[in-house]
Amino acid sequence: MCADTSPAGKDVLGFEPSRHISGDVIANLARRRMRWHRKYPRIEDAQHKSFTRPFKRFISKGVPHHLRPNVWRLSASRFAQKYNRKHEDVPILNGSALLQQARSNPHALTIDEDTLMQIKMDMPRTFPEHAEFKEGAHIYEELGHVLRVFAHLHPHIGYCQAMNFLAGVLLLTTRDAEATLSLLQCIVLVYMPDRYTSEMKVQDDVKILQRALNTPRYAHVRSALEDAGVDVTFFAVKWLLMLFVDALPSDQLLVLWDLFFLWGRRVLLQAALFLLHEHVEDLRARPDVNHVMDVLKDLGRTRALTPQAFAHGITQHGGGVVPKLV
Amino acid sequence: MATRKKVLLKVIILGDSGVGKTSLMNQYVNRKFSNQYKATIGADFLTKEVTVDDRLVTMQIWDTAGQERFQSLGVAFYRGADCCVLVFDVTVPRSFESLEAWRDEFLIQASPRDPEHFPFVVLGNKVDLKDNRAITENRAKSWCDEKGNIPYFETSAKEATKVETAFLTIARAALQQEKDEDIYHDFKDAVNLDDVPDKKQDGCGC
Repeated sequence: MCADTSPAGKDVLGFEPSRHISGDVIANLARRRMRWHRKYPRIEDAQHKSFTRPFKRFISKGVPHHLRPNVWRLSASRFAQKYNRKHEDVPILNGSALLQQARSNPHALTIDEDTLMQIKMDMPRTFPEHAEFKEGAHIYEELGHVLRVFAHLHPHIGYCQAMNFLAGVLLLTTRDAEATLSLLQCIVLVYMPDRYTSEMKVQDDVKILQRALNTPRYAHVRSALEDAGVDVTFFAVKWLLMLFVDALPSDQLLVLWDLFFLWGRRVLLQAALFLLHEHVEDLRARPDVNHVMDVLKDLGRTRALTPQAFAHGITQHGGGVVPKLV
Repeated sequence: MATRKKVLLKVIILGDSGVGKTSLMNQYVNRKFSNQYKATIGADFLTKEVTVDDRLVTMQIWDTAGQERFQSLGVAFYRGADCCVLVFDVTVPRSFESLEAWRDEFLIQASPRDPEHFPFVVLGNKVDLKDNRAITENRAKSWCDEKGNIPYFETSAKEATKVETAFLTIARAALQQEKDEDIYHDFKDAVNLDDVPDKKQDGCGC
């Protein structure tokens, strides 16, 4: 089996590719794949205890796509175990039996009418341009199952718009509803607590970002945004709630998620600062609100970075401003 | 005001999830309809330059997330709005019943200076789905009348029915609101002008 390939002309997640990836980036990925294979030949057996410093460094240098389900599971399990010890009342649960039920007898799940309606409405509005998210496709149906079981397991959250996109990317990556359900629980309960309830604590994250942008280091970014009349909230709420889905091209998005599962929520804020910094010339090109928003909605216009360069860029930003979260 | 500065009108579109807010905005701004819109997260906007009664204005039209829990983010997006558009789906009674809550929530979060006279426009969307219609024109109109004669339009973003007309009314209402705000601010500035030099003189005394 050849990893890191996808249907002809599509990117690694099966989307229309938004940019060309240069030869050296591809060569780098191939090299990393070899290194992983040599060093961790049986990653599927890896357990919590294998989370050593070299392993973490390996992750930050780039994860071969076919290993992502395992690597994400391992990264998230460290946070999940800690969480489950503290929250015995609403733990992260294995939902395989419930997923079976959702497939065979959906009425067995207890989900309130509004939540069900909202899920039903959002399924066709998740990735309408993607072949596997057409009504009747396997992944499409599994998206519904995952979201319904989540709502059944965690009625205090139920379903929040944006979770459909997260579950969608998880399904396209893991190709497995069970793994998707458990990672979705990790994101919503552990990594991003109270971000998907009416508390909308994502506002706190936006404030941190605003504070960072007010420091002298980001004066160039701040002035580019101010000149165009763009407020941080205009784009940051969506970036954060969607973990950059829809804003970053698949290759970079997945690298960001590798680091997010590894290091936690602060990665999102650091990435936001790094990406703003990287795009500042583009933002400045025209101090016009539409132009600036177009750039920020589609961050794939700059060159593709190797995972290593992307991770390095992220670690260079937010120091001292972005607290250690999660 | 003697100078004619460039006018930016901020319009907020509110309403339940799936009533067609994104479609209405895109039909008006881009004259396009698609069955393939993604659910809106947070908020998004498009701008359009239009001439309203011989004046060139830029409309900044804000499309918001319809799920209730996103309302707490409203403050950030509603600030400085000149007109609020409330949308319901004529085939979904619940979306009509929600109008009141959307209106109240907007007034609380945007806290306009004169809430009694803040301009709203109501759109009953998806009138192309004639067979599934659940809210009659009369019922919608009488609600709008009750709430202080809110202009009401029956639209179809899909077939571009009444979209242009509705947004012209929206633009006019927003422009009027903007003028009223300007007069208020000019007045405030005039008052401030008297205060500021005094302070400065104090500062320069030493």
